[in-house]
Amino acid sequence: MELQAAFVEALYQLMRTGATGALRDLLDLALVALVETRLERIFTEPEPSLHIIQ
Amino acid sequence: MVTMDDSFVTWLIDELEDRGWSQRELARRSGLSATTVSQILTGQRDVSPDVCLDFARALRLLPEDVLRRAGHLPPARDEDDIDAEARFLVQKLQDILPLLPAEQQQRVMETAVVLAEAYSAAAGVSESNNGNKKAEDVSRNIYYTNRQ
Repeated sequence: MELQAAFVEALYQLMRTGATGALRDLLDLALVALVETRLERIFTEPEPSLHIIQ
Repeated sequence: MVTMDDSFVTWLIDELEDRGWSQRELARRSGLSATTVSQILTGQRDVSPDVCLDFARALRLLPEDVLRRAGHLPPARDEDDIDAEARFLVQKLQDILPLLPAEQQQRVMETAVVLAEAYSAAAGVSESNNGNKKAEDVSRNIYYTNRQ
């Protein structure tokens, strides 16, 4: 939970100082992680059997 | 023991009324016990930073807004002073973070902490206009290092 509190404080600090470049980078990082997670899920889930499709 | 500022309780009650939520609904959405929420709303219990984060998530508000209301952060400057884009980006981050696996959440949170420190340090290096540019360069270097 310490990390979460530090994270909130960091966001607050970046926002207060108008560090939009750093915030955009962070959002980019989170979005890339989200896409990677979704792709990994797609490629690791077993393909549906033919009989299910039929 | 009454330790909570009345203004926080009043504000929280208003937020619940705006949403048509009961105390029990707030408890359910925030993951807190109904007793804890009741004690907070009757001023019998202090609101810790952790509870503020739980409320922020439940109410879908910026964590710093709730932390500020509870007195855990200093008062904000005028809303107009806070860059609208920065607020938008923070809100988006708040929306996306819960969708990530724990390991990725940790990576984003750690990066944010390092970026904030680097930005403050770099901005303090020079009072000239190059200060912000240098800070952005530092943050980008850290960001791309983290992605690898």
